[in-house]
Amino acid sequence: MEEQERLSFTAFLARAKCLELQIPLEREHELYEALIYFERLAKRVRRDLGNEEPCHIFRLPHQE
Amino acid sequence: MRDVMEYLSIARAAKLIAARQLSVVELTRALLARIEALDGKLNSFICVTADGALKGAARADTEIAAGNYRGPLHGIPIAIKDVFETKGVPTTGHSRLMLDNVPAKDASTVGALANAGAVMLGKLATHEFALGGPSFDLPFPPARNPWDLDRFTGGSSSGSGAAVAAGLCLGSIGTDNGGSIRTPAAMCGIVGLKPTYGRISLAGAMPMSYSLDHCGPMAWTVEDVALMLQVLAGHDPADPVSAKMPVPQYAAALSGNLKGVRVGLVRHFYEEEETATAPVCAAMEAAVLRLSELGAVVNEVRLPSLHEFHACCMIIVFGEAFAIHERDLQQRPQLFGEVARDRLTLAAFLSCADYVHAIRMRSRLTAETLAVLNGCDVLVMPTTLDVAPPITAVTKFGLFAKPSLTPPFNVTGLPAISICCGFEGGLPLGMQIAGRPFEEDMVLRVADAYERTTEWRASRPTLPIFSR
Repeated sequence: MEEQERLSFTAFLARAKCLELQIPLEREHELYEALIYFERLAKRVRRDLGNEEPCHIFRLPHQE
Repeated sequence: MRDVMEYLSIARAAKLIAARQLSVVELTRALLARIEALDGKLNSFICVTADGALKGAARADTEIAAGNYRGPLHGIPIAIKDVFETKGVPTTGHSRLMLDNVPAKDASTVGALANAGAVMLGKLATHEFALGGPSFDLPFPPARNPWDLDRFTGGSSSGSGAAVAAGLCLGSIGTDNGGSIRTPAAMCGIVGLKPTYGRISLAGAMPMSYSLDHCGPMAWTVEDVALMLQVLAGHDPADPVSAKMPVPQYAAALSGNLKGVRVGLVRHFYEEEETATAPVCAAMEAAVLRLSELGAVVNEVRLPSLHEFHACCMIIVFGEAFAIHERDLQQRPQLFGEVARDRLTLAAFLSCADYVHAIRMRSRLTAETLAVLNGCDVLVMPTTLDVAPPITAVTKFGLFAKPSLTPPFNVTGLPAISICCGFEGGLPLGMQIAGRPFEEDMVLRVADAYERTTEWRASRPTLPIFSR
């Protein structure tokens, strides 16, 4: 749980409510703890790239 | 005769059908009987379209008798993963949410197969929306591995892997956004090809991930997959990402000759960053030796980190999948199975920045992989790190935690095939061969040369009906 930097459990539930997601009561903790997986994945893609690296995420037709 | 017919390859059946030594109706009846006898245990079919299949078979026999033979798929019984739209036949994505979905037209791939004269036997099991499985709380049970009914088929083209391996159909089409064709192909001991992004139309295929989805053929042999690809490949104006690229004659590439072909062995994926089991590593060593004996020049190469491919793929797949299913998750979540619902719910917590970083990373990973492919013609590695696990051992979030060997070629959009490269404990092992963009012919050439000099195609699953 130390890596769980984004959200506290309370914030997790509040965020889920904002997103209009219904999480079954019995799975709230399981899902909260599973956030760690996406936390790790996100860390990996974030640390990889510096902002200076040019990279087009969308190409206009004349760029193809 | 019945068992012989069930174990025909597409290529062999096509020759017999073209020569009018085999009736399409007779072949179709034999397969329908086999489905009836076996699929109660395999659960590979969601829906069997027996009446339509027999009508299509009779039509094929009539056309062929009249001299109107369309080509190698004419009269070949196939089945379709239930994420492809089929006119007048329910297309559910193996989900309770889609039980009433009866499309008004065929997916482009289904239409292409029909135009080639293939006979559709029915729709095949998948994971819910190709992302939530194996699950036991869906309207249809999960497919079982014909090599061991307690084992996972791999997914998400689970029914396709099981049905082809069990001889219930001669070929199938699947979808693959992170390994969903290649993993069941490996775990069920068949051949599955994920072609280059844009090579086969996605029109009418239920989306899971807009930018990583691919469609591709699955069959018993490399030659059969080549015959199916010939019909499926090509530009389709109905698909905005379909490529306008020439389509070569794939069967012509199957020369059996690998002299001078440069093979890059990606050993660091499965011996350094992840650890494949000893039998998987041994099978790869033997396979690489065989490729060398066939004239290929094998060298070890290094791609970017497998963990980078994994992170990039997972964030893009689940970011895009959440966008597709967000409304249903909000408005009728109870209709999802637990696995799909919980995986998609987690994806809701990804940020826009996560997705953008993953897309940026994807560009770099693709460029670095293509640079490696400047120095070799194909890349080889295992398809999976181990044989098929018990079906009950597959966890809900395990795919997020541990990289697999297939996503690099979804991230890069490169063609990749899985072929059988041995057995361990009666379960198949798979070798993955990837190539440069739109060079499916080279991938097929290497796969076919290996396959035809090994004995793996002689083994089929032992199912109860054969023990009588």
